[in-house]
Amino acid sequence: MRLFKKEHDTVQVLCFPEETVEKGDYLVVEDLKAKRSLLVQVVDIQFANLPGMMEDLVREDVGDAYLFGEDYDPLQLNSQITLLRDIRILLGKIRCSIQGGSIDMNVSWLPSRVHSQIYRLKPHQLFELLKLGFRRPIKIGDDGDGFELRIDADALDGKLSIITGRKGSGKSHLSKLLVLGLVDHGAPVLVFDVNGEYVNLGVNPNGEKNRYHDRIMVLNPAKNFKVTLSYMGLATASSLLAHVLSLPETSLREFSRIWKNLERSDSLSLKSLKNTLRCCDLNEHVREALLSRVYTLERSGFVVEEGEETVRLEDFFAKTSGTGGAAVINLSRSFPLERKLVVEFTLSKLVELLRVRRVKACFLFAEEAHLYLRETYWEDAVTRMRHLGLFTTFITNRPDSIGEDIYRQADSIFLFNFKNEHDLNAISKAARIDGETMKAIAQSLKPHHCMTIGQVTGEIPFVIRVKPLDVKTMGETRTFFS
Amino acid sequence: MLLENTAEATVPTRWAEVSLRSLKDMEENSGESLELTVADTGEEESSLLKNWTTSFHLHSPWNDFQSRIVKLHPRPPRVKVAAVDCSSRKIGRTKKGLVCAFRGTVVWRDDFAYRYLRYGPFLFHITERFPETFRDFAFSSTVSASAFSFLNPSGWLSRIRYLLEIELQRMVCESSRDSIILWDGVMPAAGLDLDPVSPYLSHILRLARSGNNKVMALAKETRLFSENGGPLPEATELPSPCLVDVDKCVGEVSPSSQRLGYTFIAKFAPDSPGFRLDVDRCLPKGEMVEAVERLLASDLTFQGYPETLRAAHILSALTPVDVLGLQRSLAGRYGFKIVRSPPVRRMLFGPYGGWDDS
Repeated sequence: MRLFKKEHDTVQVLCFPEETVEKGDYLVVEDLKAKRSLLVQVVDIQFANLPGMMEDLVREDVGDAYLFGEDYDPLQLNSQITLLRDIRILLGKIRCSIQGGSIDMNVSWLPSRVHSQIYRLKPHQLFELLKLGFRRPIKIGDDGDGFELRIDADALDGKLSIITGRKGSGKSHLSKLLVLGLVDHGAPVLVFDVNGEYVNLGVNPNGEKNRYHDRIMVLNPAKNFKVTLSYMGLATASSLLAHVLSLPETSLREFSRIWKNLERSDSLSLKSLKNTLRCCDLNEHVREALLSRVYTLERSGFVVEEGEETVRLEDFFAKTSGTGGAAVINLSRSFPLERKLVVEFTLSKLVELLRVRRVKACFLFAEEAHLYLRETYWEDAVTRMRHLGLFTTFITNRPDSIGEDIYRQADSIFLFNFKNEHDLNAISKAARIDGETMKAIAQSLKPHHCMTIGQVTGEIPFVIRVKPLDVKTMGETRTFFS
Repeated sequence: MLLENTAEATVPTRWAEVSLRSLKDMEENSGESLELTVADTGEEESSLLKNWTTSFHLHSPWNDFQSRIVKLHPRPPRVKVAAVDCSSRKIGRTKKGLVCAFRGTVVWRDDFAYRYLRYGPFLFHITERFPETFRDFAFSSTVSASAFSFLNPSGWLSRIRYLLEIELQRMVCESSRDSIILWDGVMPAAGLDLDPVSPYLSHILRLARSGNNKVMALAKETRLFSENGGPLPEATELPSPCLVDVDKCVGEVSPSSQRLGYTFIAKFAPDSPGFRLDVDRCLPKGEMVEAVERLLASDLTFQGYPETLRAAHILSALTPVDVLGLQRSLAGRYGFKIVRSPPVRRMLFGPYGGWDDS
């Protein structure tokens, strides 16, 4: 490979056919005289536009159509000429410098064309250089040559992450790897599972229990995940009524008054709440509004009377303290309204627990959050909740469902394949990488390959082949033919 | 196969041997720099022998000119058409001389398709010792000694290409039967200093006639001038297809008795500019016209140019990509460092330094 051109942060490298380079690969442009190197990521591969190439190809095509013959090439020179047709130009983005074996972000120098040698740096070598995956490693994939690539769990701690890619590209797979990786390091993880894909994390592909089995708690709303009004508390209940069931403010005020009266008399229950609403002195419209919402809560099966088997989130955190564990809230069989109720309750309760420091911190994995997360929660998740100790990872196949502000604040993005430019534009506006790189690489990513952007890989974008999981990963999609 | 009765492999083998022998100098001097200029990889070297008689003056008035027009009618049955062309390029300069590449192609059309045999590329290192190397080979027995009298390496370039071309012409003329054989360029006059190989060409034409072949040469660039030096009526005004007998006009340049070809202007298509066509002079004039009519029935034409000859030209051309590949091959094989020579003319004269960078 030879250094050909440099314009702004883009380098062009002449690459001969025998040298194998793919989009996303890293090249080291080592200036032997200056004793430092530029680290360049290949973002596009083009054919070199050699003079006369067009005439050559047209000539060949003319020949193919109606000319048949043989070449007598006793000196065997034609092979060298044919070789030239496949000379490529690698377009690379300069990422950083390497000097004395350390990364240096100063890229304001130009390597020599004469004294530079260019070679491909394998991802695992770069991981070592960046000292990634040494503290609390999470194995997320390999570099295609069998070398494991690890990131640090610390890179997700206190951070906002986004996993995005089109359907079937492997984003849920990576998300599960991260969940289990965090569990391995003793972290509590909460998963909003809209497709029932995470419910088998505690089971091997052959159906046997795996080492995570006792640390994975699957919570099915209205089945093994029910709550009482007293556990819910007034704040959370008000939040549910206001944000999910759209209760007007005047009615909410009456609701608070009644709730407090019932609490004072130590008789807070669904039954007593309904009776009170029926009998007390209330405007008929308010009564109707409140009763209809309480019935909705009751009918959801998620809010139950005292005495039934219920779940307390703090119990989950107590149980997983030290060992780590994941609570998978299976929303796949819930109706949209119930789904929103469960999510609103969980987040509201979680924030309450974090605020009073009953829970130290928690990682939240939210699949297709646009289906159940209300608008204001997005900003809340990346600002207030993060400060309280809730570290969210959004997983979506609709990048435009996540606001530009969220992308701007994302510390790491795991980007899987997208063909649609509109999708990529949504991310590239605010991601921590130039749009050119993102579009060039993301469109050619193979299934189960992702590009990491941001802190998780030391601000150096990587293409990683996500490793297979040794757990039952299939969701519960029902099919007709199998 | 067109060349079934001849040992067609002898041509490439012989040329490969000369090539390797000439390149031996490089092995002995590997490590020296191979300097290249843009001009070296630019325009193909033109051959004196191909161009020197493509401009000629008509001394006759226009009325007389019209009487020289022979209208043509494609005349079946179809016969085999074969064509030969060669090309050459400078690849670079060494301290001792010049490295050049040559490629030749024979194309023929049979009942089913166009077929070709392409020879080369052959690389030659032309140094002061090259004439000895070249003379030692079999060419010396057939070609006049004066063919090797050029010592200027650039002169050798067109000389070698011409020799490769006539080698291929001989091969085709010897092996073909009842065919039309097309050469590129013109048929020179025998005995001229500029064409020391013409006796050998006479021999080749005899070989062709012995196989009942009709040989004709077609020059791509042809310019006609009237007596007072002004341009003649546009070639597009001529009917097509037709021939214009201009043999006497060429006679002013060289005596017709010495010329190997009988010269016409050939216009095979309405959009054709008209080309100089030399037909084997030893054929009766009627047979010449008949041969051209057979050509029209047997071959396609593209803008009035026979497709067989066009394909031969296209296939033998050495493109800039070819040149680059050959330079890389030399660098790899002999360890040359390729150095680009500074564009002296451009540096001295700026935009007035000519179109080439040299």
